[in-house]
Amino acid sequence: MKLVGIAGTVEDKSYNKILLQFIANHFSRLVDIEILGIEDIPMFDQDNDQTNSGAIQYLNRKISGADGVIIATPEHNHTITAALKSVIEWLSFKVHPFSNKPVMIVGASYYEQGSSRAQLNLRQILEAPGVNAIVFPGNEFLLANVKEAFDDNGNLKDDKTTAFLESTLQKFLKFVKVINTMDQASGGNDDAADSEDLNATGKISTTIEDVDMAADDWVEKAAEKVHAVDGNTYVKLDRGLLTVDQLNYFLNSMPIELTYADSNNQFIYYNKMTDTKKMLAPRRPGQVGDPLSLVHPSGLLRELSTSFTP
Amino acid sequence: MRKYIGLVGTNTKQSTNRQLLQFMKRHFKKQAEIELIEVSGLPMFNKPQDKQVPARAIEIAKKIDASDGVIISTPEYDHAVPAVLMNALEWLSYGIHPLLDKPVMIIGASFGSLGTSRAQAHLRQMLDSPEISARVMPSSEYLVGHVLEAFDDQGNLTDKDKVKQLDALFADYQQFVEISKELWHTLKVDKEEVKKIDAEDFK
Ligand SMILES: Cc1cc2nc3c(=O)[nH]c(=O)nc-3n(C[C@@H](O)[C@@H](O)[C@H](O)COP(=O)(O)O)c2cc1C
Ligand SMILES: Cc1cc2nc3c(=O)[nH]c(=O)nc-3n(C[C@H](O)[C@H](O)[C@H](O)COP(=O)(O)O)c2cc1C
Repeated sequence: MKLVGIAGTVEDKSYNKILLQFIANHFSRLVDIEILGIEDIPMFDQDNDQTNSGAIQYLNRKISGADGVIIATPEHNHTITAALKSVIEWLSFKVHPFSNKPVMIVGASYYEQGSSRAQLNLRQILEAPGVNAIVFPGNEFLLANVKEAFDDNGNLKDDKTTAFLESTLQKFLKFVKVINTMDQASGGNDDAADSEDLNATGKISTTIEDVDMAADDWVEKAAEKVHAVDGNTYVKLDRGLLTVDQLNYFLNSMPIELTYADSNNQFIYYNKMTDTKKMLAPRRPGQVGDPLSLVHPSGLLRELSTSFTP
Repeated sequence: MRKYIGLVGTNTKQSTNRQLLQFMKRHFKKQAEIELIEVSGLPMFNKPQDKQVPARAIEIAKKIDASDGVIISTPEYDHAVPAVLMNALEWLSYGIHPLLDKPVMIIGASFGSLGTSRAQAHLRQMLDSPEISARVMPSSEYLVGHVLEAFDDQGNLTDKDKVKQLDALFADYQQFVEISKELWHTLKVDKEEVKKIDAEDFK
């Protein structure tokens, strides 16, 4: 996973820059964070479109290519800086790299409130339709009285604060995974959906090779090939032990139709909770193993967003 | 006759928010003098260590100082005030504080139907911050939605109800300015408070 980090300031000396650098260094074993500067971005001006300038295209590319974004915001006059707002305006004008991007907000300020108002405001801006980011809910990280917070090496002095930051970051990483999974399942943005390989011609580590995907007895053949267990055999799960029978009982009694398509776009499971005819999105037993192109006639791709993909 | 500054919260040449202020200037010319001021052209606020505020910002500050009140017209970008207006307010609260206790009226025009309601709330919040501490007229909001159809060729608001609403609001604002002049007790305390904040923000 790869994140980019932006400190919402153009000052050389900034506590928010120090905070972001600390996050990138201290948690490098958890995630790779590349820090992007916004110093070269001019004031947004509708009449003088700079979208194609090197500086804006650089941010556009980096943000588009990242799995998620962390923004560290100062607070000026109860809101974010004009410098950061200008960047967001450029990136919601002709290009929209924040669209569907998971974003975590953190912030440091001199006073007790620790950028709480700026963070709230930034959230509202990021959720505006032209920006369309997916802001990590709850989990505010506010660093108040920041002038006393760091030691000379730019490390947070208070271990409890560091621990809290780590747990917040870990939750965000999970959030990023979930959001990007949903995004993949729905085909991401529309052009991505067009180019996606729904014929499952690729291969991922769990693909069972040399079994005809389209065959009605794919499940039986594939099971034989990998020696899949069934019946009263125990399976160890996170967290617990169930027999395959218990697992089936559990999944089939769910009040929702679950569909599992792997990231190679092969349909490999559904919970056979009821007859095909009674299902909202009808699945036939013989379809399991099929590439998605056979399961979903092209027009039905949207329906996938309600299914479940790893 | 009272003298007001009309702050144009955008840098685009074709702006309905500028048009709205121009309309007010003409429409109320018998009741008050309104001078329009542009906020564009300032460098990006970067909290300069030498505390030097650009000459243009000082010029705007002087005009605001000399006025009886400020009318700010804001577009809405991404549910908030445009960066260019935010930037001007940052400069106007860094060592200089021309808006301190100034009576302010907020107006705004947008292409959509909501007429900058969110940007206006955002602006109100900024003007309430201790660094600015303006005196924003309470419970007043002048929103012009669907603004592309709102003006005729002469730049006059076509909707009679909208004009009536503006007349009433402006009359209230004039009154508000008078009342504010009586509220001078806090001014000295506020000035001392803002000095303390400056000392903190400059560090
Ligand atoms: C980057 C960008 C974001 C915008 N976001 C909004 C918005 O959130 N709400 C809205 O009503 N209009 C939005 N607009 C359209 C506004 O430009 C328009 O409604 C504005 O308030 C008109 O003011 P003006 O004629 O003075 O420029 C946006 C425009 C741009 C360029
Ligand atoms: C014009 C101006 C306005 C400020 N307004 C606020 C404010 O409303 N709330 C606040 O906590 N700090 C305010 N500050 C102080 C700090 O800039 C702020 O706490 C900031 O988040 C520190 O982060 P930084 O070192 O990354 O710039 C203001 C500073 C300036 C220069």
